Amino acid sequence: MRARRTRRAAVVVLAVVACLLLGDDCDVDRDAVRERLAREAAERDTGPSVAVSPNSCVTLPEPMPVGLSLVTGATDRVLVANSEPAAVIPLNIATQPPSVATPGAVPKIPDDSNGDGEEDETKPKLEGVVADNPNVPAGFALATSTANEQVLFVSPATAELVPLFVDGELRTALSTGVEVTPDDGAVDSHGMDITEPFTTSFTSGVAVSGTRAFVSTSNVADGAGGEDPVYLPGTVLVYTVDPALGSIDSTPQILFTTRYNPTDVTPYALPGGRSFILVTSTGALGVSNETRFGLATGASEAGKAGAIEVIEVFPGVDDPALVAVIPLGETAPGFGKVTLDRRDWIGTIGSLVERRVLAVDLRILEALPADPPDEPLILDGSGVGFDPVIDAPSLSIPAIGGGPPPETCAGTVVATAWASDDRLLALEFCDGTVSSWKVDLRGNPGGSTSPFPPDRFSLRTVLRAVAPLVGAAPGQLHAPLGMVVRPAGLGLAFGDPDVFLLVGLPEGALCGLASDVL
Amino acid sequence: MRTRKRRALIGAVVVTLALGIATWQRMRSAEPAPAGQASRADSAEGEHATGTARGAAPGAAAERSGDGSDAAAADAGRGLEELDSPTAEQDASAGSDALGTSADRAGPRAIYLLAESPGEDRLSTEVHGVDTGAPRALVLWRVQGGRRVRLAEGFSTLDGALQFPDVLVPDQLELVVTAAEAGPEGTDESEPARIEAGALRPPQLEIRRAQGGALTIRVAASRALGSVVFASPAGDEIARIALPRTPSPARQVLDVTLPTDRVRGEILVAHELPDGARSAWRPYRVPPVPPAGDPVPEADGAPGRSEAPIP
Repeated sequence: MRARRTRRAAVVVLAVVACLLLGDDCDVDRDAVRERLAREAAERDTGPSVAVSPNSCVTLPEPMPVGLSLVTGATDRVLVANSEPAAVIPLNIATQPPSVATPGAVPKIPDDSNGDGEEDETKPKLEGVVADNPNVPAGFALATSTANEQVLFVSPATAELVPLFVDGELRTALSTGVEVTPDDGAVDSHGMDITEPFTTSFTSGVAVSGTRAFVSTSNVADGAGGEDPVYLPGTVLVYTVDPALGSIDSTPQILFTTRYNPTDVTPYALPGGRSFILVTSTGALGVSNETRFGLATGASEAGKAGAIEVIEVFPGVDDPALVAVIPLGETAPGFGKVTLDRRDWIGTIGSLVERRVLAVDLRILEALPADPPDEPLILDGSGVGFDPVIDAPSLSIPAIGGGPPPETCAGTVVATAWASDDRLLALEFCDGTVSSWKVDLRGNPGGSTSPFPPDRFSLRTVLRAVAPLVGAAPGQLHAPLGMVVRPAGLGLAFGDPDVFLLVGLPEGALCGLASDVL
Repeated sequence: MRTRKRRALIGAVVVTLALGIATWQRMRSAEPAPAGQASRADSAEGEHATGTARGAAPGAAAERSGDGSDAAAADAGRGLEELDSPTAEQDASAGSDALGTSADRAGPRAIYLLAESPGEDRLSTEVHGVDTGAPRALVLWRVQGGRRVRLAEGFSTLDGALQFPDVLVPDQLELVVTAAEAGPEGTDESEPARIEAGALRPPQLEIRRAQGGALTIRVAASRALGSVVFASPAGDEIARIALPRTPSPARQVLDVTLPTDRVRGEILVAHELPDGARSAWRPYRVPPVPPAGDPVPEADGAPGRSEAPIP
């Protein structure tokens, strides 16, 4: 009897001690505490549990691949851009995991990248690849490269370079390093006057609309990749192309953007036939601690503002013109193209400095005057039409536990995509999550006179697809960089992977995920 | 009392049976392994000794261990008739199996796998070899950190040739082929084949500025061989860390601490092999020391983290 009492007393003392050690957890269910401790112990060894299985991933040759694109007309093919060594990698996404889709080995970009018979002085570093632009003839993909500023012509089937006529000569690339002279009064992102011409650099995006090819260049003057880079005025180079002859005129028209750091260009057409190019400009952007994007510390206030800038492509011979700007404030709209829903109403892009998706109602462009204005119109509701920015609180993505603190990585939405007519997805870099929203597009909400109602977005899921940036176990996939959704087609069954994530660390990988889990 | 005796008797019978089974299993495992199926210990050793498939002749394996891609490529060019026994004990019938099908054959159904490093101008390589149990469905696996990760589905044709899509080669890759129905640990499987990308790549770093300003750096090197070398932008060597040789992880991950007084602003890192071959230098930005009194944020020990190289 005495022994039993002593044992009971010891148990009580131990329980009290455990309770003190556990602190707040003392009040909660003990099973839950035990479960949490076991989970944390397991995560110390293997990292947090994630939705993407390594068995659904193909390992890429290098960490931090730079581009991912679907291929027009192919439901089973994507292209991945490898920066260094420069190469475009065609992958078959109908297999599990994705597999190399070239008939032979995947080639690197050759030492003579433009096909002029001379070895490159500077090797190109790829920045991205585009193969899903419907205006680009089948059989061509376009890859942007920096260091050696070019747009390269690539076969999506073989990943070999293919020639086009550039000024009448067969070449496999188009130079995008062009000397430009900004207008009087132009300043860099730190507010310093620009008195000399400069050569465009950091070729970032490419798109084709009608008989024009548009190439964005970021023009970083100094400190690229650091906390406080200096940006020169951004440019969009407009080349004249003849798709029938496969020829390009190498002397571009120069358009200066109103915001710094244009990172991509997206073709967009209204149902009535008017064509536009949407330019994603982040504003002056810095990188803190190498993993956290932030607005550049030394930039002027004006330099920090981002926007979607609108170039209208006129039929006939008239030059394209920058006609409007959709201001997005200090949200740093992300690298990459504006994602369009299947009705072409809503454009979405991620914020590089917050866990937030930025959405704009592109039907506002119907309200633009037919003739180009002298100055780009500011589309913020104060002048033409309504404010197209859809201010939906639900488009902010909640942080989920176990991710990096804001000091290390405050939130970076690297890609958005539509998984179906009414389901929007977003990929977040810091936490490694894929979020899913149901978007009610029934009827004609808003229409051409008022913006799309924000309450039609409802957040459904925030799924940890890969490990967060901090807390990943050695070898565990983290740092997602891109996302595409496989077009519906024959052979795609329920539960098959149809969302493909480009992952950067510890090795580059392309991983499949079934949207059914989202 | 009688019950106790009965229990003792049953116990003795159980112990005797268990000992008998154990002895039989030991004798069985001591028999020579069938052609193409070495023991697990053998297999692990083979990965380091030859760094290649066991299906190749010993001479060729030695050639490959000295010089990677060229010798392996030469092997591949010799054709199927040279995919002979992995051991001297292999019998003649196994050799003929390599060129035929196994529909009417009893005995081991070995898979021989060869994969070569991609050439200088390529990022992917062909996987080829012979399946003596052909035709059948096969699976190609990547061996990663002791686990197998499915890479591709394929098959063996009537003449035994393996058919898989090309595989992309990161820094290094260790492959195994199994029969599809056997599962990842089945008996119908090849020995591991290890291939490496042509050029040695610089290590990846995660730089952390810990409390008090000390620098800890997590290094992920591409090969389990040689040293990681740190240098200042002026080219002065700051530290040289020997990499431990561990069985199979594709990347060698280790944490090192560097003297803070010699590391400022930027640091260069390269991977150097024992033969003197060295990767390109990759620059990394070093997080600044926080001003005195400015607390370093605490989070998983990761304040001031630097993971991406300077572009």
